[in-house]
Amino acid sequence: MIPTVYGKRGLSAVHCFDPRGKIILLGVFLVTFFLPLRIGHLGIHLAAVAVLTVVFLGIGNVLRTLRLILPILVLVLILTPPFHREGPVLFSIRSVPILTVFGLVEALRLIVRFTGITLIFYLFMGTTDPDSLVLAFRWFRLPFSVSMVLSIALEYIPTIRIIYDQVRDAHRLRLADETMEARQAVNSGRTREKGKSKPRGKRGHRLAESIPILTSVLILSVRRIPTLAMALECRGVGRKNRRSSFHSLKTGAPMIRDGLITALIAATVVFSIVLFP
Amino acid sequence: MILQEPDLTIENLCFSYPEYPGLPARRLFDGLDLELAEASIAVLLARPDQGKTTLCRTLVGLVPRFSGGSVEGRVRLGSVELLEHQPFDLLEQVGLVFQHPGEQLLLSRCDSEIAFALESLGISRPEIEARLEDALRAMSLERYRKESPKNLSGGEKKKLLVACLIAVNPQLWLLDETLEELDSDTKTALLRLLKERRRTTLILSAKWHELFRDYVDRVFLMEEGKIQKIHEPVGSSEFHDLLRRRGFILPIEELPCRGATPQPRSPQPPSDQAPGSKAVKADPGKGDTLLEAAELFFRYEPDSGREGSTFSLKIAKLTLQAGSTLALLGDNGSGKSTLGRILCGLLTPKMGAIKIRKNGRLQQATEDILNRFTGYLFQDPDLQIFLPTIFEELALGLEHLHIETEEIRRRVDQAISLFNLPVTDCPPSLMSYGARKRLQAAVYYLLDRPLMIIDEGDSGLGVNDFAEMVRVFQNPGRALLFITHDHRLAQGLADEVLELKNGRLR
Repeated sequence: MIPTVYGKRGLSAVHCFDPRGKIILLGVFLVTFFLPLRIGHLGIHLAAVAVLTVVFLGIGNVLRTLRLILPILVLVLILTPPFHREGPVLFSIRSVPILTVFGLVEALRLIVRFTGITLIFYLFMGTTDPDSLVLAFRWFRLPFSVSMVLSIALEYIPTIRIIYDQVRDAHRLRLADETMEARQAVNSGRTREKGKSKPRGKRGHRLAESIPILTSVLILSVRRIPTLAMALECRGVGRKNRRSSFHSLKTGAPMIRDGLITALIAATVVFSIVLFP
Repeated sequence: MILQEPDLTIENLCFSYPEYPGLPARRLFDGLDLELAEASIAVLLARPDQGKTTLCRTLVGLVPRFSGGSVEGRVRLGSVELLEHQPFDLLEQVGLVFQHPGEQLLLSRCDSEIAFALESLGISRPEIEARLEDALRAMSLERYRKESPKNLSGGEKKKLLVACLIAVNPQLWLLDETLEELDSDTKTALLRLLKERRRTTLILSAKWHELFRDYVDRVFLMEEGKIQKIHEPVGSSEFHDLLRRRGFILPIEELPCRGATPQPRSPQPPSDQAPGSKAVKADPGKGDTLLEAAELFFRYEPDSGREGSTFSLKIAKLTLQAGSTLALLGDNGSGKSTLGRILCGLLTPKMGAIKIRKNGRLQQATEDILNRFTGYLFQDPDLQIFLPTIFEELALGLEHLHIETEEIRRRVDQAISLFNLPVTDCPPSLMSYGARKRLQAAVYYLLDRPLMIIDEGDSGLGVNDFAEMVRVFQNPGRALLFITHDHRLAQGLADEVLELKNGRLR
């Protein structure tokens, strides 16, 4: 057995919370992040989601996720202000406003929005069993095939991460000589030899290293599609008879409790939007 | 043995693959005939590339539905014409365990995986629960019930897929190289279970396992698109002679690679590197210690997803000498792949040190150095093969060593011939599992690392093919460690056999 972090299961309150409630709250938070609210208001929502994510999935996982989207956030911060030049000017070149208060607020709004959506999805996926997701989608009257597709698509995200890790290991072994040479060049700041490309910086090198890995992952993922379809049909997907269900969603008092909590959180978010738009 | 009314009948089955870019159309089956009696267990022996997987997929309805090509003939299971049905409609008639288990597992928990097909059949929850318990118990998987299948080792994944089959209990069981990657106890348990359940079973294999002798009723050979029954009594000397001649049993006494000093195969393997390359060069003489690991201790992180995990790997001392060939045996989940990954620097031990021979003396090795010192063939070849053609796949590592184009072409051609690969522009994804394993080995042959580790490389390969692969990697200045479940192969090909049990070397 080769354990990976991706199969990790938790027993926390969020992990055990009814997936139907989680789907509703996911929708509520997604809509909230897309509404044109004040930056402070969006920031409070982001803080709430971030705290929940840190508490239930751990600071390490959250930081890793944020590191992944960091390049996009930096691009947003750089590219958004020039398109919003209204309001008091903070920085200009030859009387051409480059950074205004409005531009800065818009950039921050986009950053908060993107980070919030990422974290809420991460919290949802990290604490919800895909099998229970299918059940929840079916409870919302989605056909089994649609629920299955959604679940497989969502399940595929961690699978891609596993493939990525394995492919990275394969590349690491296969191209070890080249990688070591490049690393030494980067670390020593060695000048380039004639006919060889210029050694990149550490960050540039890491980016260059990741391109063939990502390409390989893409190829392997595409290759998996027909075998995935074969595996599904061999397990009876496509049959006309009614499916039964081995796992079940909560019923009775636990369902009512989680339903009330869902309603309470959703109402709080809606009221906060109405009261402080 | 009295042959009853046939349960499975294959009559004049012909199949041709369509033409793909780089791969011409190929007639794989040319009038296959086969009859299996109800509740009988048969073994179909075929060397790699002879169409074992295609035959299984044809019987279950996946071919030509997913592969294209044309199929003719008749296949009947009782009164059901299998070629006229879709795979999902044959769920209770035919069950298949894929050769590559990773391709068949879909869900995030082992119990969900087993229950999935039962849900498709619309079976009630209490009945699913009962069958699930039975299947888990039969394959000794109770403790993995809530685990993610992704966390299981290759052998454990196969056990889980057999458990899925046990739960559905179809009329015909097709086991495509399923006994490969399983430890001896599990193989015996599976064969005993097949005997007890009295289901018609066709086991497809590239090699003869002695365990078959007590459990199988019929043995067939598939060669050149035809199936022939072996008439010699199973286990007789004539039977063994025949299988030895056809390459399904390893002729230990005739092996050229055992006992004698290994010689580099001619032409000389490419040991030279590009000028200026920083590749680790060992250059030791035969018998010199090439790698030494002492007091190694490794444990997966507590948050690794393995609930209640107590697994740890502890190796007091392991020495690999130049010119030596070691075999590593061990039950599924005993830590064989983990040890392999530590020795090539992909996993870092919590304690202990690994030294390698460098510049004539043993020196402490970091992960980076081990990455360059060791070649490691993953259990799953597809994770090491990514490029569109065989040539590109083989040339990649050499290009990174800045070797001249002409020299690359020469070495690639040599590797293609040595590992019996198709033409250079053939897409690897269209090759058989065994051919993909040979390609994976050819990639590392060209990289010429001082230490080679082959993780269950014999799975999907015939015994002679694997022996040939071992022979290619044997070299007086290099060491080879191969992981296997086949005791006979281990004893036949290795100078020393090690065994791991619960993470400890015995």
